[in-house]
Amino acid sequence: MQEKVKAIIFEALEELNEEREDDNKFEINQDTILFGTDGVLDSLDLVSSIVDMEGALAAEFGRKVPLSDDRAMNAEPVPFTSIATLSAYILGVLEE
Amino acid sequence: MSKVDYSQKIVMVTGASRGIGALIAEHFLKGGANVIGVARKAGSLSNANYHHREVDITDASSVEDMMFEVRKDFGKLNILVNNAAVLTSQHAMILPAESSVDMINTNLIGMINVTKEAVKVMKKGKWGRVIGIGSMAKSLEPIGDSVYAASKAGAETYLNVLAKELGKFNITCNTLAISAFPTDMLSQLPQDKIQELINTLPVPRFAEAGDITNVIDFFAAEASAAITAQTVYLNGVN
Repeated sequence: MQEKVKAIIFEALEELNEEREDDNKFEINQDTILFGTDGVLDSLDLVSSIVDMEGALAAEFGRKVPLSDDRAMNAEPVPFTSIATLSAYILGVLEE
Repeated sequence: MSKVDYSQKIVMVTGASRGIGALIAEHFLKGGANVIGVARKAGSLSNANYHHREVDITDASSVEDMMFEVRKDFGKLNILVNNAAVLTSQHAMILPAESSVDMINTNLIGMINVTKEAVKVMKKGKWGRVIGIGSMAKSLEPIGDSVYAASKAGAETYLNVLAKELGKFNITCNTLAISAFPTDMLSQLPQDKIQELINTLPVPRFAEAGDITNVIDFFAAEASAAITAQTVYLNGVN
């Protein structure tokens, strides 16, 4: 499950990268800071990737994994801090 | 045959069981599209490429489930026509509260529910056309149509904002504001009042099917990529 979640996150971010100019692409790894002061995503990127990930997670696991509801927005650590925190948040929801 | 080739398109039309929705669904079917018709009631169109979904669009959860199935069954969605609407025409002071709720829920909230989920699927394909069916009531503000006109104004504004959010993804959002078109909905209004209103229009006649499909084709066209956040009124209303 962990590998599938990671693949979904990476795919959504790679899709964002494809739309960017070469000098504006970002590195994708577990420690990539997604959103916030040093984040690689602006607010539209964030919305776009949330939509892509929610759709892919629903297709893969057959259930909704909301990433923009109150629970996700108020979670500590904030899921969209890094790929690692996002992955951990999604796995937590899926394991319930 | 329709003049436009829609054979590679997946089209969703809400309120497709009758009236303008059925007309638009048939138009896309003639163009070769696969059409997903959405309505509370059973569908009346018989065509191998017509796929009916009985869904109450005011229920966000049901709409999410429907769109999940659409994504699974068709893999994409290219064009959405938000046509579903209800109308109760009555002086505001005696308009039943439940009629107001019904109009806002169907004409505005239902439209928002469907559009929100549809554009997520369109975004994946990096192309989409969202077309709202508006009304001259929004512009003419006729007596008796306070809530109906407000719901249509809200829907139009919603699409205009969405146009800004979705332009980056090659998704356009526009509104076709229809004047008087002979449907069950229109037949519940006093016919002499309708004729009186039509007589004031620059093109003083009922709208015809071709008037509607002409603008639908325009908004849906590949060449209309830069046409977004626009409203086209029929019969010279502005």
